[in-house]
Amino acid sequence: MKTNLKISNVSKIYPGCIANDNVSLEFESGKIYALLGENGAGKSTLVKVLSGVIIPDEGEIFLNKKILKLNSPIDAKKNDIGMVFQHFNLFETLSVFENLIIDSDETEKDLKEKIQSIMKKYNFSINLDIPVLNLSAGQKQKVEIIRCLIRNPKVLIMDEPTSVLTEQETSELFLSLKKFSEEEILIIYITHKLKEVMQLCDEVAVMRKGKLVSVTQIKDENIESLANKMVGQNLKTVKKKKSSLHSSSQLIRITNLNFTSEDPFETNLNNINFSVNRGECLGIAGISGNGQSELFQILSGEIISEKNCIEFNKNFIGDLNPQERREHLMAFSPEDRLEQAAIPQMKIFENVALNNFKSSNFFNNGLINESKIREHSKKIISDFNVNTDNIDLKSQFLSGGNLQKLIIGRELITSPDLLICFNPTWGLDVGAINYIHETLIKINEQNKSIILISTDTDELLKLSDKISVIHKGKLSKIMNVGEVTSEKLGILMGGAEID
Amino acid sequence: MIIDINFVGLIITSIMASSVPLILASCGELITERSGVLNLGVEGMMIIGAIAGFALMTVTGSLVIAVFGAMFAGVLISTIFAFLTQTLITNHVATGLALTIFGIGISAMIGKNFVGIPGKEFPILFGGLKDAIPFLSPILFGHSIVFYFAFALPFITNYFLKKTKIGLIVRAVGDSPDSASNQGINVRLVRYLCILYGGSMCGLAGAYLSMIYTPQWIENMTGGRGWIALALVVFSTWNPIKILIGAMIFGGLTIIQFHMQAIGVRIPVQFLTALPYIVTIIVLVVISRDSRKIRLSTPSSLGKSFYKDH
Amino acid sequence: MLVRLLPRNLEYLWEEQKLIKIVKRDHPSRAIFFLTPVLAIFLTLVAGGLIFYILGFKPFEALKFFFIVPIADMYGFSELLLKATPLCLIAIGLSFCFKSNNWNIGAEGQLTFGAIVSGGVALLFYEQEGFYILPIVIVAGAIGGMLYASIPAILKTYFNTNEILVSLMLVYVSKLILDYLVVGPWSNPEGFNFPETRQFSESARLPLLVEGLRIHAGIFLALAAVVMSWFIFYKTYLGFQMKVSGFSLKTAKYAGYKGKKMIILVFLISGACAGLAGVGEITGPIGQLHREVSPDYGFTAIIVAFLGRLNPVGIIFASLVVAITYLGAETAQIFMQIPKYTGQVFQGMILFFLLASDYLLFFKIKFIGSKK
Repeated sequence: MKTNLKISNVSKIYPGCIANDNVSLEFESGKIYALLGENGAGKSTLVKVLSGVIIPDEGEIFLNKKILKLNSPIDAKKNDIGMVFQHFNLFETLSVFENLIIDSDETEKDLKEKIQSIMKKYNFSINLDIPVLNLSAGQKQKVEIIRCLIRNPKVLIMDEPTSVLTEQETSELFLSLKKFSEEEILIIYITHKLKEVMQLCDEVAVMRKGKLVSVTQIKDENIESLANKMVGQNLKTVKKKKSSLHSSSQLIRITNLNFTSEDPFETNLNNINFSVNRGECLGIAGISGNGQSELFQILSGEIISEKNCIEFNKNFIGDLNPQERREHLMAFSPEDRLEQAAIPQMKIFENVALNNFKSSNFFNNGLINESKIREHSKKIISDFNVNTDNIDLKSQFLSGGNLQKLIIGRELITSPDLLICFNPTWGLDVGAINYIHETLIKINEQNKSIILISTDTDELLKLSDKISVIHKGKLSKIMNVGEVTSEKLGILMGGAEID
Repeated sequence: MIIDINFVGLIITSIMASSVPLILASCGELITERSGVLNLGVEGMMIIGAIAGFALMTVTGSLVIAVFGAMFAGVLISTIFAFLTQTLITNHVATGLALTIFGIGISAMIGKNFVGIPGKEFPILFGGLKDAIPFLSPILFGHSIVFYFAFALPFITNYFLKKTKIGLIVRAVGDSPDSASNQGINVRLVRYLCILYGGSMCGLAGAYLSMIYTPQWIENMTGGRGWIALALVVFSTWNPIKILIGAMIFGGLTIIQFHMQAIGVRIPVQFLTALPYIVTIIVLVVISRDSRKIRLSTPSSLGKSFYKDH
Repeated sequence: MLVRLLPRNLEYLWEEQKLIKIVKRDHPSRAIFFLTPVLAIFLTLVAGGLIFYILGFKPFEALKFFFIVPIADMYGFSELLLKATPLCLIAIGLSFCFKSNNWNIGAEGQLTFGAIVSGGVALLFYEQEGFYILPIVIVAGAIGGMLYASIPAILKTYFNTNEILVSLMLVYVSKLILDYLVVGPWSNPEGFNFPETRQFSESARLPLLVEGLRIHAGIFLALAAVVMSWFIFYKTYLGFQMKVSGFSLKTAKYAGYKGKKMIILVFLISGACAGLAGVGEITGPIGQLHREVSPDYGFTAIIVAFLGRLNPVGIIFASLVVAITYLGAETAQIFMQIPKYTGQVFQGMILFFLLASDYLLFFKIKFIGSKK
């Protein structure tokens, strides 16, 4: 039986931001639809409206011509709309089966049978009795999908599903989605990844800044045309000049680094060895959760290692804390803008004071030198194009892009020899991404080095000179970026071919 | 010294009796904490239950009204805590402390008129069998219904959490309130109910103290048991069966000090009184060292406020 | 199987009634920041009046005896300062802990232990005179408080143990130690078996400030603490580090702040303040050790800290407000036979109402007309 889903004039307004601006769309089962847009375009808000998590300020939803009153997720489920969120809604300490039975009306026996038949049909294989926290990301996603399938949904919405999957798991997912679509389940696939849209979907709706920009067939589009629709301007792509001459002097060397954590949620690191020369950018690729966060913290000094494991500029610094490492001219830009690199409730100039290098004189003899900090902050704002004049503004009011520019500016203004950054452009709009990439390229041109840990392979291929892949806490061999393709990276990220 | 087996039986019984309020309060607080709420007001809720029960018993003469009234008083006072922390999203620690200070004050205020009044006789079950079997009889028979209920409670609680749908929901809310909310569970309502349930058990624990155990009303008579009950929940890694064991240990420590004095052991009475608190600290240290174990069994959202942005 | 719970969102219900809508503010309103403590006090008075009425007392008369009569004369006012001094001192110490998310609930224990140590030292000198004795006694008290506070601090930093429960348990332990000492080894041999130690010598006593009033030099300690904490919080690197740690331990680590050292430091500061308050109590008007040395100042100071919003100036005012509840309870008991515990009831209520009123800081209540 065919399904028709219609979104009619939906609007949702938050203070300071119009998340959805009068959006109207119509979907029919049998096709896989892409909902494409940048971060902040409004796609997530729209599907949260569809799944009852958010109530729109205006507009209606019709399923098969019948108007839907979706006041809560339960209403959506009752109306056969299933959604798999980007950040899984699973209970880590409960078992898989307990996660599945919690919102089901069936008896234990019936439900078990149903789950088994679903798993058989789509070739999933998951142990029902183990706690969810022991599953891989791909398996967790399958649990979420099973949860939707139990209810025989008419509509299945996937929100940015591949950000945590390996190449292999992504192919499996696409196979399953195509199968569902053949069974007349309406699939809506939300993403900002253009390649996936071209690979998987039949029709694409593009959103930008809360508005619906276009609805077209995939066969009439290509990656460039979609990119332009998504961003709305002609992108000038930043390209790095691959200089053949590098100063051959070694700046930093990691030897035999091991890290074992007591925390079951952390990844142990095994026998890490690498070195970076001056003016070079070493990229470390990998799917999130394979030890990048731990590696970053060891490099920054938040986790202390053995002294001799890290040699920087001919000094052994493995046992120094971040402040001490900064004094050796290292700088760190972490992944987490809001809980690590900055404090949203503190003012801009207060956040600048977090990086207190020796020559800054922010704190003379233990006393706060506010005028020095302010002067410094003003310089950062102007040099790094942060869009505000007011250094007394609490940093929670800066957009993601501006906050990241502030943070990178804070780290770079002291002209460190080495910048270590982790996912510096996640969640940012294209303009900010470009700016930061330009900044990073400039650093290399000034003969300073970068260690770039990122889950975005395009970014890595663009900016790195050398590249390695981290998987389950181990590093692959270091390759020149010229010899590497994104397919090869994908294979390494999936765990094959590690020395 | 000849050890009379009956005497040992009696000692075990008095240890069990002493552990009843701890079991009740801890099992109540356990449910509250499993849903992610840290309620430090246990001492305040217990003492209010104590005066409510005793006052109602004296005034109405009915033990049934008194017991249920005490539980209801616990529910009432914990409603304040629930409203503040769940609807008005206040800081859990400060609110719980305010609850304790307020509870102690108001119970003393009401209790002023009940000081010195003797308690009523509380009916016991299976009284006839009390002397039937040596050693076992005093342990198994001749106790109040609250006593039997308290020893059944850890098993009931365990069953509830592991085998029922609502228990599953409580655990889910404690694990991840955001995920629960996204699936349509009303997190606030679940937490409200868990807090109120905790309040009722603390009220019952207090009533047991003033109506059965002592039985009298004395100002501040809970004497820090509420805090030990809180420690017990952590000490048991949120496992009801372990609460039973822990409560017996602490109940035992309180009993031992009386008997030590009787035997004439030359330890200052203050040291023996301090033992439960010192042992609690030592146990907490030992338990907390294993951060892995704590991480896996602590309700992940414990103590954090939940606000749903529409 | 048991009933599944219905997912009706409470806020949405309110919206349906078309009466009020709760809207989250962009940033806390500055005006409300200063008004909420006032609102809280007002609500407490109203609720207190109600409680008096229910108990059979005339509300306005009771409130008068509670809040106005106690401070109506010079003596009363000095008693107010006398009670506010330890509250202020302890609360200042606590503000260091609470600001950096260290929940030191055991200030009462640190006060008691400070009293024990300083009392012990004072007893060593009980027959001697000399200007050097008092400073030694004071320092001993501070050290005593610091030692006692270091226990939860060390257990937290190195053994990952919850400081709330540990510091709380230690309160009971310290009171029992004091009790043991006062009726046992330190009992006054010439004291006719009263539960008290010898009197301290004059040199170990804090000088009284005004003839006829009980107010003593301890008030200078409190004021010094206020000034010092203001200076540290707003002017020093250390204060900045504490502020950052209070917001996010992750960020503090990233900035290279020595998290463990900071935790121990704030506990030591807090312990020293509480210990000094203990010294003030025993070397002030009392002049010896009794079985109890504090009417739960250590716990009430927690309320003072919150009421004063962890701010040095706010704490001064808050300690005066809370001190009145102590005095008022005594006065009301003398004149109207109202039980003394009403003081605690008021203290609990002030904190409740303050926490509740703070809701208005973050959320606006809008009245809207009916929607279609």
